Amino acid sequence: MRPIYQMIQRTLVVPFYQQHAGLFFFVFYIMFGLVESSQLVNYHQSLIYGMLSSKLFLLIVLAIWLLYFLKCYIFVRQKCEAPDYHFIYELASLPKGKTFLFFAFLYLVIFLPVLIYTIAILAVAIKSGFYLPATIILLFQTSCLLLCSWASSQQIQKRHLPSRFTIPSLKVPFNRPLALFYISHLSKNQKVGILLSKLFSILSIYIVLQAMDVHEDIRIPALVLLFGLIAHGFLIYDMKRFEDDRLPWMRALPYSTIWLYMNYLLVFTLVLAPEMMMFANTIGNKITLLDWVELYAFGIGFLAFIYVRLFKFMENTEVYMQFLLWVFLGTFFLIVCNVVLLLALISSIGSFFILRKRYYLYESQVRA
Amino acid sequence: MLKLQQVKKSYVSQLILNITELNLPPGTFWLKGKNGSGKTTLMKIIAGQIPFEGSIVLNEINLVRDPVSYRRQISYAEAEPLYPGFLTGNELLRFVQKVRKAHNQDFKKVVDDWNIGGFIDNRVETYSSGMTKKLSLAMAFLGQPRLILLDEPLITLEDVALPILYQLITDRVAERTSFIITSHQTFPESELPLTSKVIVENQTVRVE
Repeated sequence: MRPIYQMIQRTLVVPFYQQHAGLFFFVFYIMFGLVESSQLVNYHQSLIYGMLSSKLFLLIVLAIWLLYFLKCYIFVRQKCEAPDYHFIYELASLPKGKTFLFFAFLYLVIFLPVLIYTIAILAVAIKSGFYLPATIILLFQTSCLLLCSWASSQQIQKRHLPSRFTIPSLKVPFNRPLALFYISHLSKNQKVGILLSKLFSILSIYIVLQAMDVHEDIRIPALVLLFGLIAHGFLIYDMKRFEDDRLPWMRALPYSTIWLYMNYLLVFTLVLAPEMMMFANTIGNKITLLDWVELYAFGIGFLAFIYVRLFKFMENTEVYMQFLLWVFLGTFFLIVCNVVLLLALISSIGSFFILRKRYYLYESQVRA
Repeated sequence: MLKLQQVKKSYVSQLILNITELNLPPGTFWLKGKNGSGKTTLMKIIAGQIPFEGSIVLNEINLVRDPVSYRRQISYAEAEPLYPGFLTGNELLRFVQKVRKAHNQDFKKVVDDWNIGGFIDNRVETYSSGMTKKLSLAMAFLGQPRLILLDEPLITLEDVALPILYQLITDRVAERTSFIITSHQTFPESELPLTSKVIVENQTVRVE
């Protein structure tokens, strides 16, 4: 049975963590990077006490975990449906119980980031006498693990049966331009990713805008936008992966890099539309129209800069994460120096020249 | 028509291709070689899909110096094409039409020629491999490229579509379009006259 565990690990576990490296980096940063190291233990203790003592807080945490578990399940389901993963169906020749166990092992490993934190929660809960929330958390995690394992083993064992229900898909009544290829990909394949990054950036913007006095300087909204932009790091990475995987044929087409770059800018304009609508609500009150234009240009330029740098870093997620961290720190410093407009111009123009230099030198390793 | 000079390609320090010189006149060429000999890599290099060292000139236009004009003259159908599953064939074909600045009648012609009208409005994720192959061939034939690269065009294509492919190639050759085709299956020379064979072996190429 060892070869099967190894096969599951190499074909499902490793790709899962590789594909979601950006998401983990983002969550890790939020959980451990934002707080001073001396305050880290207190911060997490307060967080855990909060979720154990407040029903609403616990419900929100369970909902976030559920989203994560759903994401894991959808990932496994889509992988098993992919033509290059059809060998997985060989598991159907094993007894039902064994197939179930293999999937239980798989989900145990990919739920690990949540499960490890759960151990800390349970330890605090038992120590402090929060037995009911601890039981709820334990039952919830176990049910999710068993349910996902059961559903995946059913998918393998009963693929000869027709699906009981299908989600109808909407047809777009026009021919999508290139920018919408990327948007459609994100909305189809990164629902949870979009939800998490938008939830974080929109909530942050909302809180900061509520706390802001009547028209201060642009640095405060620019800083909160920067946090929101970093939260898009894994979506940007996924967009590049999509381009490498599904659009390599485009590279033989006769378009200029400026045309391509304009399409990228349009993608980022659309990606940032929800955040900018929130800022737009405060024009004349907390920010000026010029501030709003500056912020939008800064956001688009920043995302474009991250994207075009992927033409160098794509095969190395570790370097990409380090790059994100450094670019965050550098931009943070420049915003504090009140050069948001300059930052927007430099990142937009610089991104174009990087793209022009790197585009035809880049070779994806996806299908090589 | 096509000139390659000092073309080199390596993957992770392993040399895959090292072509000192290759001159191809207009015509139809069968690119032959064993598995892993570098046929697809060579096709991708000529299509401008992947970086390489050296010089490639098609009808006096250099790929490195003038990439857009070069690509305007060329089209490439991959052996196993992958497209975004949520797009329809119509959207993909219209996108290529727009980028290649092809006319509407060209669009209608490739749809009719390849008999893809029945499924073109469906999402690509619902296509069989044969349908995807037809779509990729239709995309390659769209517009007026001077050189069409077909990587394994015969695989997954149904038998009734083969005479159509041969006829379309013959028609385009008459319009002075050239072809470089890879295939592990033998072409019926009566239906598809070849100018010559280009053999890929020992990291280089020779014309036979």
